[in-house]
Amino acid sequence: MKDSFNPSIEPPKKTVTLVSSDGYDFEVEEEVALESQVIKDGFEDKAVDDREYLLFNVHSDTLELIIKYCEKHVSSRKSISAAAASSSSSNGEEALKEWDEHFISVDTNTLYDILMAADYLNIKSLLDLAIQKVADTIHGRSPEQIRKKFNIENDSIIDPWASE
Amino acid sequence: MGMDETGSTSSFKTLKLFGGQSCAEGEDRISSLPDEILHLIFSFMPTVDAVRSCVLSTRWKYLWTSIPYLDFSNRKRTPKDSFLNFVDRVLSGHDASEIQKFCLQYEGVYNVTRINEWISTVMRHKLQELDLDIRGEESFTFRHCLSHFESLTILKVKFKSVLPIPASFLSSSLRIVRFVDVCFSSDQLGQQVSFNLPVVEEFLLSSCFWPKIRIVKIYAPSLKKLVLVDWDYDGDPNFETEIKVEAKSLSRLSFVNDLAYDYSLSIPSVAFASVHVGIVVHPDNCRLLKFLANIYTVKALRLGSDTIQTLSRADIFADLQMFSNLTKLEVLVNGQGGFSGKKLLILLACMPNVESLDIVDDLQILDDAYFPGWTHEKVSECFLSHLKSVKLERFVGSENVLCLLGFLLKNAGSLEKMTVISSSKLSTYPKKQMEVSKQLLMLPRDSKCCVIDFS
Repeated sequence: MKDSFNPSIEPPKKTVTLVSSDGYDFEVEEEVALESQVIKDGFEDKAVDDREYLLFNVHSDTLELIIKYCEKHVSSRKSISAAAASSSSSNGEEALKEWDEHFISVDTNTLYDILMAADYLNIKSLLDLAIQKVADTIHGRSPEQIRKKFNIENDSIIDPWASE
Repeated sequence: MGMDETGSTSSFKTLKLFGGQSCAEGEDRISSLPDEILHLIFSFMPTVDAVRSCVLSTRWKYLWTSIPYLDFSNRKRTPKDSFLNFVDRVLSGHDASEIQKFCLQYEGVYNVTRINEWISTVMRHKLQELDLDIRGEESFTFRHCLSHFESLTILKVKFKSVLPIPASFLSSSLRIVRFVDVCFSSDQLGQQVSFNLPVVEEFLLSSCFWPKIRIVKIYAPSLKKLVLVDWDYDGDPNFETEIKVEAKSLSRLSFVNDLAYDYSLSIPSVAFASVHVGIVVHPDNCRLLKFLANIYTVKALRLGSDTIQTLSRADIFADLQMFSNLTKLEVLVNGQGGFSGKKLLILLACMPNVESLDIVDDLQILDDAYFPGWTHEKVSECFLSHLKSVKLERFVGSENVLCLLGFLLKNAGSLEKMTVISSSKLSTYPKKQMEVSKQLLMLPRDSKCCVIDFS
């Protein structure tokens, strides 16, 4: 295990640079960036000194949130597996779930940005989280409520299921 | 946003170019999501809600016709006819695109004849996951034989139904298989059927029937998790079926069974087993011993107290081998038979390396008290010598259990921690609780460093 190395001789953590669509650089730890399947897939092909990823579809505001999410998940995973290894009880998974819930409680615009970015970067757990959130918002609401919630303009009049 | 900031220190932001994000207030962004994403959103809700979205606007009107995930769960108890018609309409309105998942769930007496039609339809759409969960008293026979489903990756059938099976079934795609209440019919009179499932990882058989089948062979080299549930068998008691499972990678076994079938499990790497064995139907105990022989190598074991009663009733403690790898034992008190502390100790004598013992549920029915000089032929020097932790949940404060705890404290030399959690009933009597806690703390301990945690 990496963790057993003496921290004083451990090499500095490798980082990669993520560039948002509006031109901001984000320097993040490699393992955080690798939460994205897209980055992971492209990772092997890249030269060590050229680890910069241009993310044309992700705005800096969104990217900041995405990085926050990935960092939290990487660190939680570590502490959960550490707790499991020492067989001490931990409510890590529970706490992470709570954190996720809090994280995704954002306004609809931000939610879309996260959803699209998670899809583009292929971060499965985050995509599921965002999609679940949208689905929860639709589920159980009347069409009129859904239109209002999502600013959908009703341009059709016929309801083919109205007969039910 | 009120989130903790610990994670964000390593990233920093520097400006390289200029640009802006346009997101006008009141913009309809959901409608501009690509179809695939909207379908994913639909996959997180019952199909009825997804289909209802067609009224939202023209963008949404035909989205439902290409939904790849169909979940017809009649949780709201829609009247039977409109539910059946709804399924019909969605399936007939679906375009030619693939259907990944078809889930049908309802309870009550429905006209089930359409199910065969529906299955035919969804299978034509290159279905990957079929999930039928139907609770009704009707009799249903699948028109298709099991081989029809070999291309699926997930097959879950919880349905009192008859499913024809071939003499030999092979699927290189099935990863998860669950059969509950299924009666397998074979026209190979007499005899043997085999399941060859090279990639299956999870396999569950619960209350299934194998009429006229003598031998069922399941070959599953990638299987990780196996669940075998058979309780209250009401088939022909004079007909014997043997179920043979060969699963070299299996790590978890869950076995809830009264051994009406004869099980032969070849599961050399099983690490965790959860075992509830009830009344042994078979007069001699060879089935029970044969079953136990498969799990002597486990590292963690969860036992129903009914299992301990069964072992005791069958009087086979003397024939038990050592569970020499076992370090974690959990006992769930259940069933009518009660729980006996002495029998638990006899069992522990076959488990010399147990480090942690957890007992859950109220132990009011513990039947034997007083262990002062308790001993048993199997008790060896290392009896209880590895025991480090004992945990007892839902303690009602009975004298009998205190005796058992007293015995463990007195005889487990390396015990580090004993955790006792009061039942909610005991917690409502603080006086009694205090008294019990005093008694517990005063019990003599063999281990110098043992901590008792009572709550």
